[in-house]
Amino acid sequence: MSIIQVHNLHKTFEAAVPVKAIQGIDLEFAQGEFSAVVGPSGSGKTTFLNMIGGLDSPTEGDIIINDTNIRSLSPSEMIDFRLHNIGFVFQAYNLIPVLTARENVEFIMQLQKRPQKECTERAMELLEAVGLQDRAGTRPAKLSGGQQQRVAVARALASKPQFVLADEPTANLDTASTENLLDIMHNLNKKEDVTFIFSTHDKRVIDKARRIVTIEDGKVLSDEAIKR
Amino acid sequence: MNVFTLSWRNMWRNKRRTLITIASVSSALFFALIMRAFQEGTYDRAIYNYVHSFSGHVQIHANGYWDEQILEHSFVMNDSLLSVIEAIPEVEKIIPRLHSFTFASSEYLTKAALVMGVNPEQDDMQSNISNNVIFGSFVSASDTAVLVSEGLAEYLTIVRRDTTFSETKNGTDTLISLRMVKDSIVLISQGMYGYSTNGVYPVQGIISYPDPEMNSQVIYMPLQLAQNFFLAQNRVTSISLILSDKEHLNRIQQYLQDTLDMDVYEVMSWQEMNIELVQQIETDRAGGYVMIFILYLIIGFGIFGTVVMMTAERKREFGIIVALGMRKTRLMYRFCVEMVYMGLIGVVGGCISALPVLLYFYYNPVRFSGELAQMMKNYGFEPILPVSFDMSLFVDHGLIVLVLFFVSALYTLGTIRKLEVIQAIRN
Ligand SMILES: Nc1ncnc2c1ncn2[C@@H]1O[C@H](COP(=O)(O)OP(=O)(O)OP(=O)(O)O)[C@@H](O)[C@H]1O
Ligand SMILES: [Mg+2]
Repeated sequence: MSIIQVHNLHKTFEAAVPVKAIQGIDLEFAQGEFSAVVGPSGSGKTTFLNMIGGLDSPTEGDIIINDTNIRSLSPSEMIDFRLHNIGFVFQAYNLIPVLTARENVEFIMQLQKRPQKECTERAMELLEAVGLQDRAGTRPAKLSGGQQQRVAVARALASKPQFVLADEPTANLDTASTENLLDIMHNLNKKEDVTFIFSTHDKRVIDKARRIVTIEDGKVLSDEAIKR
Repeated sequence: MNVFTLSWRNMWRNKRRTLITIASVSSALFFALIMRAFQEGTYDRAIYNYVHSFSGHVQIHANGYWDEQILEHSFVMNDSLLSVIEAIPEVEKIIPRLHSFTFASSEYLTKAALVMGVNPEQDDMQSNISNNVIFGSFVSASDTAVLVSEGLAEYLTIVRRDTTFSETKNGTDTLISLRMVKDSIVLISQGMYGYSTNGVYPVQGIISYPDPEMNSQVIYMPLQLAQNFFLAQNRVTSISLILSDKEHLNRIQQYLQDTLDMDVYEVMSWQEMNIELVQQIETDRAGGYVMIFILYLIIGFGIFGTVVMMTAERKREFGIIVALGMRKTRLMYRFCVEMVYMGLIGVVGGCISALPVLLYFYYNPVRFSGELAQMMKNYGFEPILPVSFDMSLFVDHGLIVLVLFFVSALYTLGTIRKLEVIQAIRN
């Protein structure tokens, strides 16, 4: 069952010379996927992820997430939609610096107005899943880049989203941290059946994906499923 | 994590900057409060002096008296008038006076003088005027003697100033002493109905007024004696009312104007009788406001600078928070809470530091000496620097500071409102 349907997606950035960043993409993502969006720099990966994450709006085309055409949402409806449906992991410095690891994970659940007890329990459960239960009370500044990204992954899952978007989540990480983060994401993907869509340049990351969508010049160049 | 804890932590992200901001706000508030308290204290004092020693809060005259202060504009203190006044609970004291001009002579010298006829005991309770008796003794209601103001007494050579020098270890000590050389004064004037009147009155003491004009012309008489002298039995030129609180003034003035026959009487507030003092206070207060405005302007820019820096540093974070799913209005609200925190700490800091200083000076007012003191005396002010202790001062200035924070926060609110999430995150 597909949870994201992208139809005829176009995005042109208005500038002195307009940039056609996305030029007609049709794609579907199914529940439980672990997909990588790859392509050279400037090919449109970030732009594509931003649009399916509802952070940016297409110039043309539709994005349907579980029967909701997100183009029809008002800005504040879009914010609420993101809160309940989409998990985000950004490239780096994702976390709120004044909150501890656990509080960062709880934060999003509190926005969802879940009871505090549930927030704490789930936050600890997720921190354990990313191997950081003993750093729960630590603030981001005292965590390594890899640890921070693991907290970000835990936070992305905390809201029980339909899918998690991660734009180059390992770009700032060393090899060991990258593999560790990927393993964790992979496990969560299997264990919690969370859909992950991430963009990357990184060979090591690409190797872990089970579907590789290659984009070039804003178009899908190839889309291959990989049996592992 | 509730919004208050989060805001609190955010506030301390840059400890030094927050502390500097709070300290600057506190000290501005401190100076503003101290300055305003001293200003208002001085005004209150001046008003108090004027009201209690002379005018009362409200005065009742015969209609037309204020414009033409002649004996024909005196009136009889009748029971119906008194019963109206006495029925007002806020009226604390009722002081009738009879004022009129006379010639005062002593041997070869004559000078125009102002007779102030009043019940001395009652007046003294109000104004402590007996403290101003520098020679001899104060009079009482039944006395047939008078007090003469210092300047007038010197002019009429009723007193002499003796200067004696004595050698001390530190040099020469100069001692000025008054000596009474005459014991009576002759008054000649016009009484009621155009009759002329005169009399010789024993001088029971010399009285000193801070106001030079009064000091050179007043003859202080028991009311009845003055009424007899002016052939104005039972008549007065004014009735001063002292109220339990100056707050009641307008209401009671209005009440009297509504109740009494305004063809017969006029009811005036001290402000109407001393426009000069009112204007002097207003001018001075405006000067204070300008200074405070400049002070707050500087502080306001300081706060604004802090807010702009804070906003720039956190733009990316704002972007992430909105991307994750916090509505912008919620984010704005949180930022406002942070600002209010910072403002409140500044306000509390300023108030707490100003409070002991103001309390100290409230109970131990600064006393001036030398030329400054003389200048103040000449203006009819007591040469002390009292402070006013009015809670509304704290509230007003606290609010001003909070408004400064709020106005500065508008910058951030605007930034959040216009925030482009992707752009903010990319930075
Ligand atoms: N806000 C913008 N205004 C103008 N052009 C933009 C904007 N954002 C992206 N672009 C352009 O759109 C194209 C796609 O950019 P995008 O960031 O999606 O590429 P990417 O594949 O994510 O690249 P990278 O691998 O370097 O992150 C690029 O040519 C970029 O210059
Ligand atoms: Mg990119």
